[in-house]
Amino acid sequence: MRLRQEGLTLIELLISVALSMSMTLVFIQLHVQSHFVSARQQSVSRQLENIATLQHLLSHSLRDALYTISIPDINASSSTDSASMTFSNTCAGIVVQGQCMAPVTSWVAGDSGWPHISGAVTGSSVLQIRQSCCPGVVADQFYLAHRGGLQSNPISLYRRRLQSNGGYAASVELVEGVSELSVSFIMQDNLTGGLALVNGEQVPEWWGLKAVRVRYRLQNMTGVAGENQDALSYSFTLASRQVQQTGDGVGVQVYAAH
Amino acid sequence: MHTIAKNQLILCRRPQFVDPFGQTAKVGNYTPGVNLGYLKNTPTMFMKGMSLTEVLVASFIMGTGILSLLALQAAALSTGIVSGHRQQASLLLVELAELSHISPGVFREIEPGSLITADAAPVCAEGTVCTPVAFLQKELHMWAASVIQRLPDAQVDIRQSGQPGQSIWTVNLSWHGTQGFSESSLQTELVL
Repeated sequence: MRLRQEGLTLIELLISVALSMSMTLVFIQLHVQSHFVSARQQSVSRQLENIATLQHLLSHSLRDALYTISIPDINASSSTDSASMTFSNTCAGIVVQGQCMAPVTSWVAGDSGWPHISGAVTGSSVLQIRQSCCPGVVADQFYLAHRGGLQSNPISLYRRRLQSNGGYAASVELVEGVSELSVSFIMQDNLTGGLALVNGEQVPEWWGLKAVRVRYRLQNMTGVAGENQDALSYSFTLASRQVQQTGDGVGVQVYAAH
Repeated sequence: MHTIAKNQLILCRRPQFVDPFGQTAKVGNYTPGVNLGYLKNTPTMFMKGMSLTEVLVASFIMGTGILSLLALQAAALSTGIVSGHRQQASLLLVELAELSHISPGVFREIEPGSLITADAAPVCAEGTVCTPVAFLQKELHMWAASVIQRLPDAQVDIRQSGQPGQSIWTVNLSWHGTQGFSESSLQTELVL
């Protein structure tokens, strides 16, 4: 008897192998493409998450600083008779002895005359936003630093809180990959009523502050070879909100500006 | 007892007991379970593999499954992209709302259609004082530009309605998503 164990013929085998190879190649190609898109999508999601987080945290802090209050006219401020006061001036910052002060102060880390922040990247901007949210908290300071002070780590946005006793709460890392941070102000001219976008040094006085604009740069963390890794610029605006007319210092926490 | 026809294939229960000396089994009757050895004139005892058709069908089914999985993954990624676009659109609309809070009264005077159709933004350099209308028009132009930059094939449609003393801007952002998804849009109303 001939015991024939018949499997595939050579032709059949070749066709099967060719088909399998084609399918495998297509599968690998799709998988690589899918992996590439997935990595890119993850980076975009991460970028958006960082944007949303940064804007949320800064907006939350700024919102606390930007309650516009109407205060007595400067010329009438010497009067103690509240009935005779005119409420013609509004201040979106804080009012100290009849003067409207900046809600946000900005300086360059490392400059003398300004509070020293340990670990802050020299030459980067520091934002100090006054706070009235929480008992014992005077201001939030946002600055850029390398995690753990190691230059090999990416720059992150940090926050530390200035307390009413002059001390600082522990610094908190907020968002990774922030490389620049700056603030500008949309001011209304008291005489002409015109609007201008200026930086803090160009503001002679803070009456008529209408909005704050924060600009920042975020590292483009695609994690995909060949993609542009440059940082991207973003900005957001926060307008002051009108609150009920109050007197000098009422409703805001007054602190000595640095 | 079963009748065995000539050339009929019989699978033996215990083929190892096939007679090695070439004895032929008798064509006729046999009892199931009894070893018959091999049958003379039977063609062969086949141990057959898969045919090409079977391989093709199997490959087709497997390929369909793999492609379905990949399509599912692609759909998930596309959903992520659409979600990202919606997040961007949401941030842009919040930005517009904040701009409107700078001076709602001035916003009421602005013709929103001019923001989209005008070629160039009003000149208002940073650091210089401009009229509120010019300043906000420039800001809105910049906002519209960032919409186009951040959303694919974006279109801004602003319709103004309302009554004297109160203006309502109905803002509609639309953009084309990824393949397989129709046009996406996000709409909001600003009461000025």
